Amino acid sequence: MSNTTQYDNDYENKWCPGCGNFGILNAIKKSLADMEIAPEKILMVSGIGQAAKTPHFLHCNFFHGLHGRALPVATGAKLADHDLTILVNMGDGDCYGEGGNHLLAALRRNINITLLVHNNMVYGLTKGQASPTSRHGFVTKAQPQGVAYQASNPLALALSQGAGFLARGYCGEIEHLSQLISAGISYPGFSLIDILQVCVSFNKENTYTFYKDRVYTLDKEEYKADDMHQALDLTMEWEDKIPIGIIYRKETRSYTDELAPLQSGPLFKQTYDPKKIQKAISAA
Amino acid sequence: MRIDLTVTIGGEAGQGIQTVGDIIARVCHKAGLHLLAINDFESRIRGGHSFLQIRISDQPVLAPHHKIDLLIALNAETCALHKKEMAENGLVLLDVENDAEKEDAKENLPEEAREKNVLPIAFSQMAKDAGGKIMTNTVAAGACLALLGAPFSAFEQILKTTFAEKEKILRNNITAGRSGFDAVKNSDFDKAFDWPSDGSEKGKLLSGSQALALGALAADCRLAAFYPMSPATGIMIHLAEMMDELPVLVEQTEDEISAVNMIIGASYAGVRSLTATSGGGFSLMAEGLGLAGITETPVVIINSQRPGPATGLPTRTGQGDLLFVINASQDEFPRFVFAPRSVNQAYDTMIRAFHLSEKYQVPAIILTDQYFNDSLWMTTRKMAVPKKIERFVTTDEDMKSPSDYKRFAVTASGISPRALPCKGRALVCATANEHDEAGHMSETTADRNTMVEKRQTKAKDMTGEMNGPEGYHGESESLLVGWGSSDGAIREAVDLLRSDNFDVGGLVFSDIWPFPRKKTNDALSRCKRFITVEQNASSQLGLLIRQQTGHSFHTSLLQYDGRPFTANWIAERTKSVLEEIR
Ligand SMILES: Cc1ncc(C[n+]2csc(CCOP(=O)(O)OP(=O)(O)O)c2C)c(N)n1
Ligand code: SF4
Ligand SMILES: [Mg+2]
Repeated sequence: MSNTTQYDNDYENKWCPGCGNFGILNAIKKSLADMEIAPEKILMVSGIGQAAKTPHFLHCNFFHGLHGRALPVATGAKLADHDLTILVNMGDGDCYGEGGNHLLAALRRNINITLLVHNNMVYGLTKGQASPTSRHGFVTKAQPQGVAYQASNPLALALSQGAGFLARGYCGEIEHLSQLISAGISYPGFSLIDILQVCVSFNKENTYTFYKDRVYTLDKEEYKADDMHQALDLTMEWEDKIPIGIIYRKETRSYTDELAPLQSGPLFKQTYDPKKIQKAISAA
Repeated sequence: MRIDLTVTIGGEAGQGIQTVGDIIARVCHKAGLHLLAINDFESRIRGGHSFLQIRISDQPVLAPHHKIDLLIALNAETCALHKKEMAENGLVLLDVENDAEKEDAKENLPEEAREKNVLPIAFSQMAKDAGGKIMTNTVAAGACLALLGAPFSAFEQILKTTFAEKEKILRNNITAGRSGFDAVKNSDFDKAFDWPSDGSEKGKLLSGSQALALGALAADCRLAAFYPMSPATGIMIHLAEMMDELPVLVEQTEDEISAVNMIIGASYAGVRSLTATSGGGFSLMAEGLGLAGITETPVVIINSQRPGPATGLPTRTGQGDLLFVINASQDEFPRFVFAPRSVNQAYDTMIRAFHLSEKYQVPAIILTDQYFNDSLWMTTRKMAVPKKIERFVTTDEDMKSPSDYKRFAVTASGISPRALPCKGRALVCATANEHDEAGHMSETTADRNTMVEKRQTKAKDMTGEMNGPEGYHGESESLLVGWGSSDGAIREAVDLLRSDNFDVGGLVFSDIWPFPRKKTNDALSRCKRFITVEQNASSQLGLLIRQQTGHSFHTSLLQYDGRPFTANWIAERTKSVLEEIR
């Protein structure tokens, strides 16, 4: 049995009772325990929203930044010290809306960071407006006639942008989700895990029952997740059946392995050499 | 003998004006002359009108001059555009297609340019004869240097270093240069001077951008993230050139929001980091600036100004962002703002900005401008590298109980010991929300008040770090007050005015925020009046001085056309102001 209590802290939780984020929080703890990563060895980075509060409820290092901007912060930290293990928590609005451009860049950059998107298809913290993943027709106080946009399909988008590791998890399947997170952490490049998260307060459509009726687990033996076209088909499944598991995974080399200045070790660990700098200045 | 002359090379973008200018500048520099080369170009890659203006002297050059002694016109339009600026007895070298066209060339000039002292030369024909039209620039440089009185050997030496690796190209260029050199042999140029014979370089020749980049390296900056924007991009290009040799990574990001957040992440994780942009990008960084403020994360941000609002004049210069950068981002938090006056000071300021930013755990902003970044300047002293970098970070070993570490612990100075994440048992928790000492979100009045006061407390010691404005004949009756890169033009204007018996001095700020109130009071208390000299439309420094000290400017000399100041412009206007009082 893995010890998840080491990641508990006594900071008061601020989510609604029954919120799907609790399942995600537990899955994170489980994964970290399984992987034997000590609390002081993890860096959690998040944006702003209910999802982004997650690091506060964990015993760990964290940087809880701005709405939409977690990925650049995490990228900067990883570039500074690529020995760090970095997990990012963002909401669907946070990641796919406000921070959309950063997601596109992160997919292409392929830096070794694991991104967990708590996708509740609504803006939780600001009390229930539509998010990029809200379905067409979804009614909110701000969209009383129903959302007139099409819902975005972040997994298909990510796949088209060359994502190397794509998975979908569900907050109601904690053990399964924890394995996805572990697989994401172990992956040498950028990993995106979109997590179906129930918001009991503002999304009365995508409920536990809704998911119970639809979610099915991809069989690891049968589905190898190495074919992009098959993966694309899976990302299109939604109405009756929703697959969870690793959707796509390809062999990769992390961004930090590509960059010449990082090959002699993390920037943080390299030494300041005034003589060398003086030489460079004299030559300039 | 005093040497002071201005050479302007003008033509279309893409014609290689830069190459001609570079060669001339380097030959003069090698010979032990002083110079300043300014770049004036449009926001386009080809066509239009651009020019490079080099002022050459045996004394340090402080600012561009308003008159041109030698104009190298790579097209006829250049003659017309610069006609009004020609000095008496100034000479124009005009590029014509071929010798046959020489006769028609003057005829074809716009009428107003025709009567000038124009010397048509078939630069491009000579280049073709030497091996290719591409060497037109070398021919032009040769002609220009010959007129100035330079020995051919000095020119040849620079060509040799320029084309060191390509023998055939070098040979052709020497032939091309020779033909340009010989073409003007029999022409007289009033301002030709006795070329210094025992020339030794009077300093390094480098752009403002380069000085900033070198300063960042000397300050141990490890990550530089940016999104391209004139006139800041050059800084990052110079840093990128160093990636092979030094532990520095230059990362081009998806936008400026990413750039500022990325350097915050890097700094939080323990490396010194930098971004550089112009006003538009800085606007996008405003929220990130506040993030650095509330998480007390040290970062250095260069804002190289260009005129705005919005896209404004992308390739031109201005000083319109002073009040903006002091106030950018919602609510309040301490920050440093510096506006270096020279390349040496810019280099030193980078080192200081990184140091102070980490010491106080606040963002530091450096305000420069297009004129400063893109001009070639000469250093006046050595650029020394610090022996050691003090990092102001704490580790488990410094703590009684690492598990009780609190990132935002209250202290008398407002500065909390700063640990780095994943480096020990101490957990480092930071948030953009208001928080308690441990770095967890908190909305209690007690925590809110404590944190606001803790952050504000730093301002007092930060103010103590600030230098006052630098006086130049600072005891004078009237003072010209400015900031940043206008320093040189103000000094030269003071010299001009004093030689006309005006009791005028200068006072130039480089440390802007926290405002050095007492030092400014002292500097201003002795004068009868002061006149602000700025490149914006409301005298932003003047307003700031009034707000901070109660001293009001007599009037202000404001220029906002995107072009750099000249001493003459400032001096003439100052005279009118002072004569009115008399
Ligand atoms: C720049 C900025 N714009 C808007 C907000 C307000 N805001 C906070 S959270 C949020 C959206 C939250 O939705 P999501 O990211 O899906 O997270 P959730 O709360 O659903 O987990 C918004 C719009 C903000 N904090 N900052
Ligand atoms: S509003 Fe929704 S997402 Fe936020 S805590 Fe409540 S249930 Fe969870
Ligand atoms: Mg949401």
